Amino acid sequence: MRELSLEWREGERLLLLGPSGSGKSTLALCLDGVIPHALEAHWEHGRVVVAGRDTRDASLGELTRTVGVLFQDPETQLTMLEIDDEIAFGLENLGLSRDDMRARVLEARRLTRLDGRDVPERIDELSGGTKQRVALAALLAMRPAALVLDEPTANLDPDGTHEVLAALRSLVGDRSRSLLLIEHRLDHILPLIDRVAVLDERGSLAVVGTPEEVFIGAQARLDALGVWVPQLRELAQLLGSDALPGDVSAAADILLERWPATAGVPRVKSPVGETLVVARDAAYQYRRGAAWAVRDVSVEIARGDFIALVGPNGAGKSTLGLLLAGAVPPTRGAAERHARVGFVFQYPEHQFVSRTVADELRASGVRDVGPILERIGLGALGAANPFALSHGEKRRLSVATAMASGPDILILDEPTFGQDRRHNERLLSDLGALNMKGVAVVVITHDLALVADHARRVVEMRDGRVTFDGATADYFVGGRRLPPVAEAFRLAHERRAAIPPLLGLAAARTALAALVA
Amino acid sequence: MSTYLRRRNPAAKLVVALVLSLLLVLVIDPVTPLLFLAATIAGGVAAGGIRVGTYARASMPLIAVAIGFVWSNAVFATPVPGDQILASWGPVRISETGLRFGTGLALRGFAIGVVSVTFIRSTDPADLVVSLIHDMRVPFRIGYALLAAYRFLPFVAQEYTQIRLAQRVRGVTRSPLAGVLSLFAMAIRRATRIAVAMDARGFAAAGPRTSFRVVPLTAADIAFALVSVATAVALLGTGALGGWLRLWDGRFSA
Repeated sequence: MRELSLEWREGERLLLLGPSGSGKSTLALCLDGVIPHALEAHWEHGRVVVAGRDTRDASLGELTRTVGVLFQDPETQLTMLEIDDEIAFGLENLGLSRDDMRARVLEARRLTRLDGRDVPERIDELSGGTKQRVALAALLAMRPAALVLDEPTANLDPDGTHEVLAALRSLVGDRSRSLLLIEHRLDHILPLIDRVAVLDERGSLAVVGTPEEVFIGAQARLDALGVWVPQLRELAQLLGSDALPGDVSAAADILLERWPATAGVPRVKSPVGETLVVARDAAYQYRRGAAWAVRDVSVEIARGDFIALVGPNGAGKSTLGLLLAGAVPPTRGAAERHARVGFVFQYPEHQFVSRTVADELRASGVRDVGPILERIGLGALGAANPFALSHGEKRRLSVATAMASGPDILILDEPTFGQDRRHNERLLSDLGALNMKGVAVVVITHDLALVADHARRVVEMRDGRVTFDGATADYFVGGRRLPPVAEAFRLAHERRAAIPPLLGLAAARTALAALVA
Repeated sequence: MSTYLRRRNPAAKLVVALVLSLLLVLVIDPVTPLLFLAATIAGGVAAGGIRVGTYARASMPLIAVAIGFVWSNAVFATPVPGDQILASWGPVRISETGLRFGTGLALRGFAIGVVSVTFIRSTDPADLVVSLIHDMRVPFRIGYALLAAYRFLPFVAQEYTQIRLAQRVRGVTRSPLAGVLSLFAMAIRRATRIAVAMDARGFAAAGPRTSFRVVPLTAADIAFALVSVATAVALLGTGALGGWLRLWDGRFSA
């Protein structure tokens, strides 16, 4: 952070945006006193004042009672084995009596709807979304005046995201708590937000104001910074509207008003060639006696495919990817390859094998590493240790090494996780370019907007089985969760059949561009 | 599933397990550990609801070690004058003293293993930590670090599998140690995150800390500990009366 001046008022619901590395998470840790009380940090100058007290003078105990922070990964913020212990952990640190604790645990469970009989007591039996609600309950039990949520849904599947956002909505609706939200999937949270603050790469304040002022008034600045904007806003902009639709029905109104009657439905071309990989009744278990991670899956991947592999956490998506890539042999059934497969792991560290960034590329057979490093923004870091890179940089490097090995199929496990908008767009355009050359792309993802915009085919898994395999357009019917833009088109289509039920911004752009041509 | 053993105070159970293990370390004949083995399994099954199959599975990894003990002592022990040679093939001679010493060592290993299994299978880890902090004066920072480590270990194993797979996908086959750097990097980052999350709930600030979970230490727990230790002493006595008991005399072979 540098020269950051920002106010967050009582009861205010503030959205914090910024490119990766702009200091958003650092700010969160400064607000609850972890910096400087528990985590070493270099404090050059300036001050952070929480509830009238300089955080350097107040104690960590006081600060954590005032500001509660929810982090993105449920696995690394839960430390107990059972829900009640987890919720009580912070209260024990405050030294509360057991009667007080019992009352507050009940209260916190009620606030996060964890009071049902169907909720298992052991944390390791919970889904990601429910674990995140437990973490939220643990904060609420401390009765903080303010909540900071640092990408609370980034690690969750669409159902988990929905679950956490629903809990959040009921918590901050009445403004009895202040809320600072760091998030980049903006469409579902926009109705909750009073004010938006945007940081730049240096960690200074770039823009601040109401959502309208920021997303419409400062649009050029946001584009330059590579900060996410709501997809519904992008849709409105595409149609020449200067409104910021607050939800899908407002966006549907804009569509009804502005969608050109003459625009057709863009045709999806599927230049699919010969089969590259076949799995036949393939099943896999990580060790004998363990549950089947993949059960009797039959799937084919052909040259030119662009497939989204979707499904809840733990459905077996990554394992199927490994089977297709030949990294593991099927326990039963068969997986045959007639192609070279590149695989990008969810955590880039897993696949680093070299001591320097440049060697990492050379290990994939690249001779001239300079241009590639330049292209992925690591031009000055060729001699750096890959482990010393930021998460976004690691991800770019791991994707580049997989692409550089010249695969016929590229499988990517959650490639957009933790990336800011600019790098996300570049990654997707690179994948699109590879795909145009005939490389089959398989993206394992929770990001429905990515699925709608880029995938031509969807393979959905649940409990190790394939529950859907077909065209993307066919996937987004029949009660499945839709990305916001698709939802808006569907609402508009229901009210006027002439508006096609398009799935995403990419399709809308293509349709409108065809009109201009 | 609440059994008699499960309801006992974890610190009391830990003390009993340690005392039994210590006594067993001192015993080197093959019969007395067998008595301990039988008594512990009987107690674990009757009072702890632990299945015999659980004991058998947990003992599997010890079998190889046990065979090693028996074999090496039987074959390599220095023959004592008047020692009976049970069998010999060429230079290999199996002495009775050696065989007995080796079997004793192996059975003693099994007995300590069975005591540990009984303790682990009848004790909730969170209860153990609370009890250690409350009854044994273990500093809470250490107690909670233990609990965090308990949650942490399965992830380390998972990470290692992922790293091996990733290296295989990239066509790099190196020694099993090649992934250790990645593993450390991930583990350190994970541990830091957990620590930050704990501090964000005031852990570092905790002065006098209270406890939500109550693990009572009752007269029944004291009685359990006394009876268990008394039983162990009685077993030693039985061994002595039967003439089997031999205590360790400081030598490491027969």
